[in-house]
Amino acid sequence: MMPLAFARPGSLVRVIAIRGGQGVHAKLRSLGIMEGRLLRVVNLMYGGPVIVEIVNDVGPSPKVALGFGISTKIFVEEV
Amino acid sequence: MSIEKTRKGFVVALAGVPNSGKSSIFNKLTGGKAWVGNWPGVTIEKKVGTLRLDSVEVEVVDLPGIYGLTAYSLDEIIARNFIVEENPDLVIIVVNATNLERSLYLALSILELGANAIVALNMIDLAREQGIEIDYQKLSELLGVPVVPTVAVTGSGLQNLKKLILERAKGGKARLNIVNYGDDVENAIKKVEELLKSNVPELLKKYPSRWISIKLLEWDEDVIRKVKSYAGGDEVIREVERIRAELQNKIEDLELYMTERRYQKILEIVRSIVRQIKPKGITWTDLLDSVLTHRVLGVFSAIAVLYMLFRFAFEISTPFVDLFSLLINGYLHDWILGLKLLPPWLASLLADGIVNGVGTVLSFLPLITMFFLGLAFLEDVGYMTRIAYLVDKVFSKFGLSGKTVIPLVIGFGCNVPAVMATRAIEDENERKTAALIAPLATCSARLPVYMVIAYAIFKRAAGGVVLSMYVWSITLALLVALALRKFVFKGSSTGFVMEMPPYIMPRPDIISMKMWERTKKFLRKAGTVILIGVVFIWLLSVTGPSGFLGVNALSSPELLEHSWAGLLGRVFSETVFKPLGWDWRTSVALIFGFIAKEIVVGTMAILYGVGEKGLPATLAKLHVFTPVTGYAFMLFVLIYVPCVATMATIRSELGSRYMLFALTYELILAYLLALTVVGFGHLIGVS
Amino acid sequence: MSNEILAPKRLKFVTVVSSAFGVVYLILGTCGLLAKTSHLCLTEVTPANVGMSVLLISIGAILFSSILTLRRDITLSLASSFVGSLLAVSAMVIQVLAVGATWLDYIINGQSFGKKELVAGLLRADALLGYFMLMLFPVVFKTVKKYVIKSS
Repeated sequence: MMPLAFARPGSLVRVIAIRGGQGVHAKLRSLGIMEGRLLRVVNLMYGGPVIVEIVNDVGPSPKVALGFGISTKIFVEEV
Repeated sequence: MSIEKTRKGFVVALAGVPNSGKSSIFNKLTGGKAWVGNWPGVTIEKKVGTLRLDSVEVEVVDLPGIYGLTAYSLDEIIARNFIVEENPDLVIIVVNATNLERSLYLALSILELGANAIVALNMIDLAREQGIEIDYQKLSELLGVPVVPTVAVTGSGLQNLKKLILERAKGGKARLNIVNYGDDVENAIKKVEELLKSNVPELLKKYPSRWISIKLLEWDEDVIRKVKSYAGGDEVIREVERIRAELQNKIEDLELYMTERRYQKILEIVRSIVRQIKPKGITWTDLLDSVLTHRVLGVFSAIAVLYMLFRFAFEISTPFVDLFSLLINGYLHDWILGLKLLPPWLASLLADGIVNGVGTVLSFLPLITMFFLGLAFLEDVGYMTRIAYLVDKVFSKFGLSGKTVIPLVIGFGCNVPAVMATRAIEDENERKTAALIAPLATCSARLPVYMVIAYAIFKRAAGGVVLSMYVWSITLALLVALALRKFVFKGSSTGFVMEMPPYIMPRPDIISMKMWERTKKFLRKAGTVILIGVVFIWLLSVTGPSGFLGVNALSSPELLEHSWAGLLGRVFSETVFKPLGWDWRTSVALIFGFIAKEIVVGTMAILYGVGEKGLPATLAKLHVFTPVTGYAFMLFVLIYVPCVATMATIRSELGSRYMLFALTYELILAYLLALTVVGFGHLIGVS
Repeated sequence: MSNEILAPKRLKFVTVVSSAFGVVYLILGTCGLLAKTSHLCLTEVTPANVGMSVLLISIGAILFSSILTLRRDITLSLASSFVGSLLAVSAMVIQVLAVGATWLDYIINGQSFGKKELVAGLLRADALLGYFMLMLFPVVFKTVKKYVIKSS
């Protein structure tokens, strides 16, 4: 398990846990990022923001950029 | 205009996630004419327009672009309060067909609210391009509300939408229980509903009981407050706390569980309505993003793109700028002065005051129009979000998110729309910081000042000196932001979260509309505030302690010296500006420049008795500036108050207190830095 | 990935040609920066202009990276060729427009516009290289179009 901020670009990861206040949770959830979800790490700047794409079996979903602060609160596992 | 329902017409609210094409639909429905104001108590933009449908007047209210209806964001609270409390006849939910999951999350939240709603399934053309087909009839069945497919940018499907608005605004009810939260939670919801019915029946006249119950179980602060405001509310909350505790024995994280149930439902819906007609693969957006968001190549791309934007605006607009000033400041000005019918003072007021002033501002119009044209193109293509991503790492070190880059870039054109653009930043502290540093973005009006002085003193190195002003501009903006975030707007930011929409081919009508909206802001603010300022300057120049000096004062430096303006310049140059080594003429130019930087060069030209074209040579010949005092002057111009119009905008966005704050910090910073430059110059022996 | 559907020859051609142009852009960009101090370069093509030099170097770096990433990441390599040549063509268009604007400005101000300046503007490195890139661009575009999912 590692913070999303340190994931490998191009890798597929699963969200294990989200730390942080309710505001952070709510914001991420309404974007569809929550425990159990699969994310594709599109690109990232080390020590900076990460671009992820939520992976599901249906339809496309636009990419989201998450700042370093938030992406260190999202714990993921590479699959 | 009030939002209160006029009996004869309908009120319709437009809701949707960001980038759903909601604004396009709003514009298409209302014909682009909108009343723009703020939501009560906050500076979040509220747009209201009207739509005529068979002699029925429909008021269309544009809700903020949101992803959900939680109590954690101001935008979302505004939207849901409007839907529940103002009770519009109909809510149009704009669903982005290329972003079904997120859009439907919002749609379900709105339907759960018990709103009478219809769905506009927008951007179906883009979805098809991405290889998916959507069964909208099935979607309508599953949601229990009518669904119209639309392509807002082309207007396709809008007729059907209008027809449906008229039909459904008269009445219709949504299904409240699309999402089943599972037996445990459903039982709890029923229990809370019973509680509400017996304890706070008054509340239920306004709010649907299922929605209140769900929100209470999710422990929504805003709803809790609402319930508590009714007699018997406290008891309900106590009881809900007990029910929640009971539930949490089985379900650890109740909110997560409920959100998951919603998403499960959404995935179920999406699965049954979406048909993949083309295999997935690398899209254009993926391909472009691999370079444009690359940590090295992306930066190179951004440098190239922004540099070209600046060239496009500043170089290609020059003939138009010159044409404007030739026609207005040249021909029109001389023609009015030559009119024998007018008394000389009136002719002078009209020509030297109003026409010259307006002409000076208008001569920036081509430049600003082209800058905003280029910027609107980049925004519409989807590129500006990538720039925000690229700078986020650096900006976060200064307590800003990458989103701040957009108002800053706008600021290089004109500070007025830049301050307004900070509205797009959700975090309150960050937004205020951004609005207060936006004036440090060196706007196009400041460039001529740099040019004149740089060419007068630095000759061959002028280009580099002018460029250094842009470096100062960015550096100071970031440093001031850091200071503001450390000492004034403390508190960590909610973080950078930004959707990166797929790249699209922009449409000319949308780009030109966006460009015009910003240019209009420049024209309106600049036109009114600066016009008054210019007349004021005229008055100060043609009158003095000895009374009316005659209109010749404007063309005779000797007379001008005895005007109020000249006197003021002397006072300044002999007191505060003395250590900086600026003469009374340049001091006058700075005082007038307070109104707008457009005026500085013109004032100096008058005071030195030469045209603007000959100004650099004259400045050089008379040794008005040493390299040190000249550079200090340029820095001062960069930092001190950009123009009255920008100050007025800060006031309307943040209030008078922050306007005064901006004014003070800019003046102090400008003075101190200029002083430092001069002091440093003396120290190393350059004078 | 989908590199099977792409003729490797064509991909290699695009990569090699755009990287070669990348080298030229990088050299001329450096020339622009050194124009004041060195006499190695033709100052007619690369006058001392910081903005132009930075632009040339940026475009050059993107184009050149195409060959560096070919083995590791075909998408990135192809995207570099595409973005690089798109930027190169845009830079040329902007320079040509700027020359036109200067010419118009001379007319408005009633000055005569020298033929020499016109030619110098149109032969400046960003314009000059851009003409070649304009010829290359359709090839790159077609290659990329085959690579991404077809849009009807």
